[in-house]
Amino acid sequence: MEKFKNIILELTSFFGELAELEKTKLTAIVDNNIKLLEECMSKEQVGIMQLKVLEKHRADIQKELGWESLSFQEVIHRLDGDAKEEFTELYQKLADALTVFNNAADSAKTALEANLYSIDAILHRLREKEKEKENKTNQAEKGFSEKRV
Amino acid sequence: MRSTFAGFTTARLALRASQKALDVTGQNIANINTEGYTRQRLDLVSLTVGSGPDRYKSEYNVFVGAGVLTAGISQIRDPFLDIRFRNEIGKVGETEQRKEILKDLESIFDEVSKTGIQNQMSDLSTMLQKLSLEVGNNEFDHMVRASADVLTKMLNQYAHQLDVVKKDHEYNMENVEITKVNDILKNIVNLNKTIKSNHVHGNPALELMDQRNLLIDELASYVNIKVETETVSIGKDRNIELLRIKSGDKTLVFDDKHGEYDFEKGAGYGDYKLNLKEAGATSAENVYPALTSGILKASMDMLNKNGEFGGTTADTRGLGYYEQSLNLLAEKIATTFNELNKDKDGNPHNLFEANDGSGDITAKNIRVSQAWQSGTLNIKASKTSEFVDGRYKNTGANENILNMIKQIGDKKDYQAGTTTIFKGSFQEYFTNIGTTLGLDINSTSSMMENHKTVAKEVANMRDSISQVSLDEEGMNLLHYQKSYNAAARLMTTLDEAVATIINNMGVVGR
Repeated sequence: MEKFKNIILELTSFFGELAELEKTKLTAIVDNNIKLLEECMSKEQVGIMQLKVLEKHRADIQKELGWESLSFQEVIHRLDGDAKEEFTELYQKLADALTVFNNAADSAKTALEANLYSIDAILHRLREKEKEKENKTNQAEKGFSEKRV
Repeated sequence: MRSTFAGFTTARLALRASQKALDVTGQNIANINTEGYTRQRLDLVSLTVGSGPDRYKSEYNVFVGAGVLTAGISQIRDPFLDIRFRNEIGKVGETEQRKEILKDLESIFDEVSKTGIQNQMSDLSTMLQKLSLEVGNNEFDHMVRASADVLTKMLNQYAHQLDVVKKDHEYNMENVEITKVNDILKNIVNLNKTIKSNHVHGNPALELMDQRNLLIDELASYVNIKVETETVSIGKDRNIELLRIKSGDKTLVFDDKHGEYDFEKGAGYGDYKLNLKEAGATSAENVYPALTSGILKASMDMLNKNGEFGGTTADTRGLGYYEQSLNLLAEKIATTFNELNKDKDGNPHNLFEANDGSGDITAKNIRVSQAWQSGTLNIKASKTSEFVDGRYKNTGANENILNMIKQIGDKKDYQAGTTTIFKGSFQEYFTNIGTTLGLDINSTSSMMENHKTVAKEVANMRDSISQVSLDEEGMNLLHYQKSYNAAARLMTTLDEAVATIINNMGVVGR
């Protein structure tokens, strides 16, 4: 039980740290700070690996406790007394940390999408101009060669 | 065979196009500081004549275009960024409103003041300790009662303040927010009518569309919206676009009709309704469950939801959560002391009761019982104290009073339904309410900042496309001035060519 409690605490603190990372990522996107954004992305990759490890650890502990494939809510439902109260509080903290993390991640994703869209729009305009220029050159060359004939 | 003077039309159209383009550039520059103004652009199309089937058409014929046409003036907007901005501004509105309401609660639960509940609990404990040393002394019993009375009045005061916050927000919702949204809808429809009339007469009405876009942006901060246009034919190959604004699957605005919101106060948490009479509909429907963002959602959530008391752990902690938390504390204090003051046969001789005669003790109605207040009832000092003629007899023992003191500091279960939401002393529980509120404010602020950052970023991107850029307009001025000069030069050249035909051709040997 203590192990399960610790893993939940670890997950809560992990999501808190990830939320901070997402906020930094958002700042990097807004400030067009590519270096910082790359750093955040690398850290995020590490974070995903860590999350996988933590999740596996949590699943193993739940299996040990006979709660395999049970959701946190279901686990709480099976507990009683002090444990129930303690885990309800832990769950609330984890849920709050997850909400903040999801929100920060969503915001960073939206900002990134909007930026990519803008870049795409600029590239599209440049391509169009390039095409226009090419057409004009082709036409001029065609006219010149026809004249020579 | 081309007409001798055909080139003059080309030159004239070219002059006109460049002149119009300069006019549009001038309009853009003039409105650089106008709020909501969208950059305009002259739409040009190349004019071609005589390229269709022709009886005398020869394969050696060469068709040259006949100039340029000004097809119209359009606005430079990006629908993707408009949608993104409106989604984000809705989230900003929602979190900002939630934070505002939570901030109102903060002043109630802020325990910086020395007269707070925590200090009063300590005072009650001190008074009980004094009584335990002077068992049977009415004076000391009255001192405990006075302290308990202050405690109940404090809880009443907190409940009253919570009620004031709730009523303020009910009023705000009913008379400010709903009125504002309905006004926006009405104004959009008024603009729709004028824009439609202009479009029918061929006027693009771009400035009116700017005004309408500003209103749509404002509306997006209140409710989640989706903006669509419907193209309808007005005959002779001419079409106009009608605006439709939806929230979820409900139509708020369509052409010249608008919906109307109405706020319905509820008797309790979860009973507040946001009714919407759709555009063109006769009956209203509660649309609160379909709201996904905006100020209205935040206000409704705060009025309707009560977090863990609603049965869902992850539900929003609205005003109901804080009111019920306070009620739980009041009820816990009352039941703890009333239980300890029962006689040996288990008959209740309550120290606390509800002032409205109801069985349920809440923070709003808790008071020192009439019997204790009037002095007919006193505190039971010991388990062995006999209850005679409405009072406990003094036996000299004081273990029940000591137990009462112990209970003030003892941990208790606080339950929302069947779920224990907290375990701790009265003081710890009250602190926990304040801590929960603080955490809610922090997380809401953090979310609000994120949404604001994104909204600002998207707004900047949108402005970079739609707003007037002096650099670009400066370049356009040079560009169109050159094209105007070139068109004028063309006119002169053609004139000279025609002069050659008229004055110099066929005069050799004359």
